[in-house]
Amino acid sequence: MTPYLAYFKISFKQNTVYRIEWVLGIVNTCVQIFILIAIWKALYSGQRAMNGIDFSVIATNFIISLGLSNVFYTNDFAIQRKLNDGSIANELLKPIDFRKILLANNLGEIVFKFFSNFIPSLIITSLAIGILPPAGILALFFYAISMVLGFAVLWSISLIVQMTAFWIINVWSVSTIKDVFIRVLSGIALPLWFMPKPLLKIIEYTPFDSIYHIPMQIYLGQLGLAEIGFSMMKQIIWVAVLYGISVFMWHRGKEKIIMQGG
Amino acid sequence: MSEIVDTLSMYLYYVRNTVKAWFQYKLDACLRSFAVFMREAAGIIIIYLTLKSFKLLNGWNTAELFFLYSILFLTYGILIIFFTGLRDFEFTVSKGDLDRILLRPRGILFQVLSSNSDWFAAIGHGGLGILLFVISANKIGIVWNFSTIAYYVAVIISGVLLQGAMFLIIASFSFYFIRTGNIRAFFYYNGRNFAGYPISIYPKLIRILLIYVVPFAFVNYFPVQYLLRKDDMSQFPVAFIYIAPFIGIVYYTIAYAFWRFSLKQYKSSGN
Repeated sequence: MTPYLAYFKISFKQNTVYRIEWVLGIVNTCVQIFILIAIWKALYSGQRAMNGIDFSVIATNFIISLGLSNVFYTNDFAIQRKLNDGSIANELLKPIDFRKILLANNLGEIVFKFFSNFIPSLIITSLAIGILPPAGILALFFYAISMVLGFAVLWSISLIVQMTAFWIINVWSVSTIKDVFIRVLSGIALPLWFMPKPLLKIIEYTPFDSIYHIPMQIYLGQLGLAEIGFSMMKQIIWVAVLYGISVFMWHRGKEKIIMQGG
Repeated sequence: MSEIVDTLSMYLYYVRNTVKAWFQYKLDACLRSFAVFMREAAGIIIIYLTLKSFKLLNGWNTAELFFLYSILFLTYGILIIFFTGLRDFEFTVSKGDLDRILLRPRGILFQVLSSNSDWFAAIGHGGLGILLFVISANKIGIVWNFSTIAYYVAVIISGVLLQGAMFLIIASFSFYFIRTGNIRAFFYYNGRNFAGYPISIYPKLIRILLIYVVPFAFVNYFPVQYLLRKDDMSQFPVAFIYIAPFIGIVYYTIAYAFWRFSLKQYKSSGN
């Protein structure tokens, strides 16, 4: 009996370790959201709206967009790791596209995190703070599409960062700097309705508002039907452009390692 | 003759490769430092841009907030020079190196603290702290005379000791074979994130945590209040700003006692 008890104990402990990490993950997301809500509550100093933006809009932005940013995981190091241990050669020989495998892997993680991290955090924070419902069924529908497009933009950026592994030693620096740009410019820490206008104008010509901000605008009903169409078109164009760049880099990178006799 | 040319060209080839490798390495090191700096600066940039629209956060303006933040970076930079070993202590225990350390004739804490220094982190955080201090120190109406400078230095030392105490307590849990990485991440880093802003913006529960459990409030908020006396200080006992320079050593003494107690437990269970 005792040996089986030992196995049970080990497995249970392993699960509790993951369980602790799971709970801590939710707590960390909630803490991030709470800090920003506290700051903005103080900034609003009791007023319900500033510059025409209701406080509940700000709260919703953080709960949803910031929450999602903890879920939209991209592994920026996959290609670097393959290059370092040489298994890239195997990947290039396989008939399946390596990048699609990467995407499939990532999507698995994301769906898991969506249910294990985002949904619990969403429940906790919306009960504690209050969240705006979507501005209608149509808004929710378009939001879902736009959110997927937003992730596609994020993924394409990640692909470009991954491709740099062919040329520089450590992707970590590029990946970290990329994360900083997204954190500052995408609206998850500073809602873009309050971004200083000159900077906002620049951001509108970058992919950064296509990740979280455009979907959020759609969710909140801030855009008319035509504007929704236009914005989603913008997201699609960015996906195409960024993906195109990554494809170009992929081919150049492959040439590079093949020439090195790999 | 052609042999000489051959050798020379091969030598140049090696030189070129070495320079390329060296440059790649330097480029990578520069990029890495820049990335760390950017990552820590992101929060600062965000607050700066946010306050462009609002001007004040609970009565604190941008320069004052920078000053508040700078103390966190400065103390962390100094802290990590000395306490990196404690930060990574749970790995030392799980790898089994602890017993080796115990056998040596020097004190265990001495060995742990002197074993490692994360200079990248120290320079990154410390540099940012100094930068923020330089930007803000003259704009917030502090008269820098002997007493304010002495207070500031005392409070920096106290802040380092306070955080060192937190590291020490968390590391002590390793003696009970508890995995500490998550605990430290949870208490220490979340606490520090909260402390980047005046604690008067938080609900009562958070304030209590930041004063009594993970006392970051004594690292930067109350010290800065001594120097600035902002209005939101009225929500807290005035005494706090006077005990701030001393609480570090008190806390550290308690933490050290707990460390030695835990070590004794570890030794007595036959290790």
